Amino acid sequence: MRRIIAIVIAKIVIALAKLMGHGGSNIGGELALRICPDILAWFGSQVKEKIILVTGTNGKTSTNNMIYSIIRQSGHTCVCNKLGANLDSGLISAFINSSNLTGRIDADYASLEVDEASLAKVMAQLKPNIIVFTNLFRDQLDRYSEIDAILDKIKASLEKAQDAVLLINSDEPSLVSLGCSVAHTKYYYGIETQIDMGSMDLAKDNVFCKLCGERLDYAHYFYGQLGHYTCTKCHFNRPIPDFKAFLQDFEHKRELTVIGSNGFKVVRAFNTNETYSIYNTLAAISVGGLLGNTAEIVERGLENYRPQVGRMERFYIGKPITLNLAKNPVGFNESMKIVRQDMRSKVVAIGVNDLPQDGRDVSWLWDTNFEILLEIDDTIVNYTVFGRRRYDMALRLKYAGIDESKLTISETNEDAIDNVVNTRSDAAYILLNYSLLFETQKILKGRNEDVKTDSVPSVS
Amino acid sequence: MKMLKLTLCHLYPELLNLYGDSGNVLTLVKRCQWRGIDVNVINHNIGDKTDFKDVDIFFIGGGADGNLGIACNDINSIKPQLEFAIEQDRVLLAICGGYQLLGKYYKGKRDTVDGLGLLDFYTEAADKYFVGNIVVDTGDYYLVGFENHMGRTYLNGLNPLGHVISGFGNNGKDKTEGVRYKNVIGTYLHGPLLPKNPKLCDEIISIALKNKYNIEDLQELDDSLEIKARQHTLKSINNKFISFA
Repeated sequence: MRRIIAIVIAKIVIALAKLMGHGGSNIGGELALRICPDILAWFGSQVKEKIILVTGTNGKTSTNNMIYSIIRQSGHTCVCNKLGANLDSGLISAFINSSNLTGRIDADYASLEVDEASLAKVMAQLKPNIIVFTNLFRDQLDRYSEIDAILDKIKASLEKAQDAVLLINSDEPSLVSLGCSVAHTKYYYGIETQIDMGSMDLAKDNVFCKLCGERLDYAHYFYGQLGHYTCTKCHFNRPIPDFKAFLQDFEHKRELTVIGSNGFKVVRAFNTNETYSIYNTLAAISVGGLLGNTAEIVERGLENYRPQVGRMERFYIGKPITLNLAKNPVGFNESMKIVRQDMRSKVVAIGVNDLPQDGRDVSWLWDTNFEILLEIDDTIVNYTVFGRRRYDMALRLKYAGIDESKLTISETNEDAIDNVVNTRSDAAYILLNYSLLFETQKILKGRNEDVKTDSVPSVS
Repeated sequence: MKMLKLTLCHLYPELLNLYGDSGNVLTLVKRCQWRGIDVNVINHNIGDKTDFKDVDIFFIGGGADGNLGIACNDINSIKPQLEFAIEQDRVLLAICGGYQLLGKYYKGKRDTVDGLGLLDFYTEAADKYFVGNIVVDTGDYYLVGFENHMGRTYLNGLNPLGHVISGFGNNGKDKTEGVRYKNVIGTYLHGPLLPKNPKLCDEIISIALKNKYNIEDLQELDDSLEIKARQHTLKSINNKFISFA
């Protein structure tokens, strides 16, 4: 009975929140959790085939949505927290959205992204069959402290799920060290072709061997600490991936080929400036392979995948405006590398909030390489900063070396968008962190002149 | 007039770089360059054979516990040079983990790590992080920053950098924040510290110029954006603090 009350109330709250335009909200799930604390375990027990969790710092939402598309393509039903609400309450909301009023769900699979710091809480209730690890970058320092502490937490939660199969990024040394320290069945995915992702080598978190403390030797860097590495002191090195990605460049396009161990081979075209999202696609293809799908189903699933809100989302308000979520140094650096490729005259707006879901500590702004923008400073007519930490952002740009006369500090989100639209330029980019995303997107959507906005995946 | 030139040594930037610490180095460099003062930045990493003789300003930041341990082994080998520099009135700015490292020991949850023992203070880990905006009165001006630390530091009678007006500081009990001995400045403030505290940054530059060239006065810069940023943060803590900007 408690369960039914919890579900009915949550359904009403979720519907109300949607009406009021609060996307990606946790509130329905939070209420249900309070009324019925074991509701997640109960939902999980109804999943017929497999539960897949996707965790890590960047790339969770895109990877998870691609996995969902592949599973749907294979003709199965699947519960998914598509918008990226990834705390336990967000997972519950996803199940409630797929359930009837008595809480029954009809799902073959559940594919759920989970906040890396909430993994322990979630795994106390859900028994995952596959856990996908994307990467671990520094993020939200006040909530997560540091990478080492996160690794310890993840390791402890894995002890409760000995049967889970782990799918780990082989190019990510801190995650591989985690893999080395647990007895689970593991599969690795990695990029074999040593392509240039235009990295500036800033914000490398884990350049030291987690096992012996020696500096890792890199034969190749992709971005952040991702690359082909080896420890010269102990035996720690990059494992040979079970799912290998190869890239081939043609004149205006790039082709991604993923080869699995048993003849599984997926080929996919890639936009050349989407390098950062190769890992997301590779991880999703690997899950597709692990679930026993044919290459054809995986390829068609990926074609049907549509990115979520604020992932390189495009609008047109007097000029093309691109909105991209970026939450931490690596995410911002990768976003700015895309802006750097655009030589049109443009406004660059940066929004930074410091609410709990963003992380209250914004010192990471100084670990972010905003100097990337300075390289194309002559094409940027105006820098607009907004959000609760707009002055910190303004100072960061001043010390990066931009001319203060090009800087606009906007008091509200509306002012920021007005400034972006009204400043004469051929294009605009809006980069912002999480709690600013939905409100800003709503304003842009309301003023959008082009009904068919297209988008490409994001780093986030 | 000949070009003024200062040398800044960033200690272990590869290991101790957790909280935007390089922003402090950037701020020191920019505020010198804007005044036509040249700055040579030396990065000292593990195993490097660095000549510290001409260093005017040392900087050491914070890091994850594991990285602090690695840095600690190496920094002991340069302790005599650091001691000498301190007695020569050179500047040493240490933030968070780097600050803790200057003291006698850090008593962590699992084990106790010996510090450099350059100064007679100690730190113990507690269960809860002290997180949030912080305002500190140095007597000459107010510092505005962000703190995020588990360590509780006890000064054993050393002079603090300042007194806490809002926030936690060294240990949340005695209202002290940081440490000041000669020109050694240790503090938990990051955010980073110097961009929003131009007076402290300029004090550091002034000391270095006085040491090296016996120059007393420093050219004024336009700090209106810095002051607005300070006002914005101070106001968000308490409306009454706005005059501290």
